[in-house]
Amino acid sequence: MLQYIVRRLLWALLAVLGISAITYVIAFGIPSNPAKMIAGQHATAATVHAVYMQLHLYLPLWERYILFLWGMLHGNFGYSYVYHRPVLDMVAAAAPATLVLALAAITAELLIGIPVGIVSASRKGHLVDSILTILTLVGISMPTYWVGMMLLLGFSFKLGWFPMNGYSALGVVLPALSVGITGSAYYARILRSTMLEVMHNDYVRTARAKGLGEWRVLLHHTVRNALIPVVTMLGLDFSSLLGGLIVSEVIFGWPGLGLLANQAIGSLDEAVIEGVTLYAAIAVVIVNLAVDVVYAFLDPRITYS
Amino acid sequence: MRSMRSLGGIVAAASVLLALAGSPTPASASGSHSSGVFTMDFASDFPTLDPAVVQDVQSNIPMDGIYDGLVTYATNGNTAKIIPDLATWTASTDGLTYTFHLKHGVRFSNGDPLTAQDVKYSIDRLTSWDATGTNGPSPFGSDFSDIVGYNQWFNNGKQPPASVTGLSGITTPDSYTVVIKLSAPQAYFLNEMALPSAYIVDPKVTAKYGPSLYAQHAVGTGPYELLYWHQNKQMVLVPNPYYQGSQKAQLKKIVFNVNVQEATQFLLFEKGQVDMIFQPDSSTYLAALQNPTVAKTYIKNKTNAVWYLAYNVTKAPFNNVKVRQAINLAIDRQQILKLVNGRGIVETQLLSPAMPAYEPSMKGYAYNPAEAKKLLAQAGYPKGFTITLAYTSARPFVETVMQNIQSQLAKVGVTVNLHDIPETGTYWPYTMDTTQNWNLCWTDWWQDYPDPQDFMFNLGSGLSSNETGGWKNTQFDNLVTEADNLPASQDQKRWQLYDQAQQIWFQQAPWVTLYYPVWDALVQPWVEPHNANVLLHPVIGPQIRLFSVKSH
Repeated sequence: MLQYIVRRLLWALLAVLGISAITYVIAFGIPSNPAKMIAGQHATAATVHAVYMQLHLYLPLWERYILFLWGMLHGNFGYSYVYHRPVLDMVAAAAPATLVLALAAITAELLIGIPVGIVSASRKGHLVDSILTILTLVGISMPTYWVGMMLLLGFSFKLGWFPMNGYSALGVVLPALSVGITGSAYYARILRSTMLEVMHNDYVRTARAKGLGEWRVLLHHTVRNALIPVVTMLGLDFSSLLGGLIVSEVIFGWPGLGLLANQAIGSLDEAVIEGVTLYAAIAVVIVNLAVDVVYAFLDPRITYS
Repeated sequence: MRSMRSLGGIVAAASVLLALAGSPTPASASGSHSSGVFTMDFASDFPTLDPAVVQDVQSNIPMDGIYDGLVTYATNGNTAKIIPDLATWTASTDGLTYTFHLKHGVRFSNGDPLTAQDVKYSIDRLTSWDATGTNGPSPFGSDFSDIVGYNQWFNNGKQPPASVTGLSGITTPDSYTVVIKLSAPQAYFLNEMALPSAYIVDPKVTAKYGPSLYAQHAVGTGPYELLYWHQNKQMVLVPNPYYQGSQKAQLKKIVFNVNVQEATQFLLFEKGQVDMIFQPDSSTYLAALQNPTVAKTYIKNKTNAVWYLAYNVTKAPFNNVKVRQAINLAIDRQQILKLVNGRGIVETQLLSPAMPAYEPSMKGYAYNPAEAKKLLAQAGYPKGFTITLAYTSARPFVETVMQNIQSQLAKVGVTVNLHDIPETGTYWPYTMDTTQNWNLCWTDWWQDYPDPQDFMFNLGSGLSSNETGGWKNTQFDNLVTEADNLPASQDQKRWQLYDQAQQIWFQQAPWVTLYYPVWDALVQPWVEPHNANVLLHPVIGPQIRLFSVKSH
């Protein structure tokens, strides 16, 4: 197992390096003149030129990439063109907020999605199942932006139960819910279909024949085996959430990576775009490695050599 | 578990019902804000609090509270008039030497006393090759290029030799006197000293934190000091305990929340939890009009800014002055003003209404599409032509107005292809390159200071690097250069020269003139004083150092 993890980490390093190169080309290769933007609309040609020289913009892209890699090894990921702060600082400041929101969002998705999936599967064919299926379809179709605004208007503005903006314990509920309501549908549907598969297996019939109660059959025998695809989905979901939820963060002013990315893209703040993307890539790689390790514990038949 | 089944659907439906159930709650004070606290929210974080780095309006707002400059602008009467702030001054008759006498007893908010050396340090820092520390020189450093010794100190953006330690033209004969020598007379020199870029900083603090961290620990001599700045969350100012000046802090606390999207700001404003929305966007403005209580809180004030289309005069069809004039006649500017909610004034000339030398007698172009068609035919385009209009949708109102112009010009036979470049980082350089494929481009300019030089030189002179579209006229340039180089004591002569230049400019029509933007805001009735020049000073913007909040 340890060998497996080490090998995966080495591949991960290669993947991250590749992503850093591709992102660099996209972020820094767009025809633009950051010197003019940094120097400002009112700057003279001399000022713009000085900025241009100081940022090494005269070098070809691949040379600038090498400089960037060299800086990365020394913990220097460049500076924001807009805020003039080190990119590492900005990403490090925003990442915890996104982590909190991602965990809350996952919790909301699972709290809604798993029960819905279980009930749907166990009452297959009944009215309950049809209603839940329709609701999950509605859930997947609703845009996060709209759900977020409706929650803001209803629970925050009108009822005043939650703050309208900002980083606080109560403040995480609505953005998490806006993702939870729409994202739970995926978990519900996956769990439902894998449970239906599992429920027809012999060992479930055996469990029932032994006289075990329906709930025990469901939770101990069925659900646990049906969880593997859910864990896969959880891994992909969580890892992509770690990179930031742009829509929810913007609506609720949640100071995470999504907000940072949104602003950076809008102002073509190249170094920040690169920093956020790199972080998101690393997060995806690490979380998916963790998911693969969790598999081995969930299903003893899975071994890695 | 059972109730969780339809949780998602119920929650969403319930809030839809609530949302649709009637108009928002009236702007009653929630009581959560006591008197003496001023709250203002913004959609994004402040770029900086460092005078050497600042170039945006949002950062100017807290900086007005934290810092002082040597001079500032009058609030009542002529708002373009320069008055003393930290210093009084005398100027030599040839306009080449300014002597500033600092007030005694001034301290920074950390207790450090203000000296003349701090003033020299601040200007040297501002004009250095590496002012920002991360991205090179300051955006406004070159404004001070007429100070003696600038070329040696700035050294074309490269590190100067060790023998050059600052601007040789700034000397400090004693702790309360600063002498600045210019290499050429600059009537607008004091306007530059009034820029936020020229605010005075404490050398001990800037040295301690270095350029990239200084902004979060900014220290100045103003009536307020920075209590904290939690990046991307909140900035709070409190009164400066060492402030001795006449503009004593009247607020216990100034709170700036950032990353609050505009829709939320409006809801918070209705609830009384936000005290001011500066330059509301279109949907906020319209929502404000629909709520009678909120509509009463709208104020506006003139400023100096121009919003226009620049002709690319280097290629057909706009290399022909008749064509340029024709298009100007084909635009109904009142229609455009409607699209920007009436928040502007029709543009008649290069200078804006709050600029000295603005000529009220110049009426601009009347709307006359018939005359436009005639002129086009005379110029050799009886059937019109096709052109490309470049713009950026990143700026408010631009896309809507460009689409309107497209339909207006279609009526005189001109087909306009719209080309949107949403990233401003790409857009501005594109507009500076007349070899690119655009015939017209949208652009704007907001003043650095209320002296005609700011517009006449930057936007009209062939010597300026900010002029868009390639128009050059030697006579215009000569008039402007002459006026720029006269000392302040000859301002009447200067205005005459600028007005002569404007006549040439108008004849030559390098722009499609559109409108002059205004400053505007929604301001709660409990924010005082109810003086538009304090709440939205035409040059400074919101002067938070003069704000007070009565109980509500």
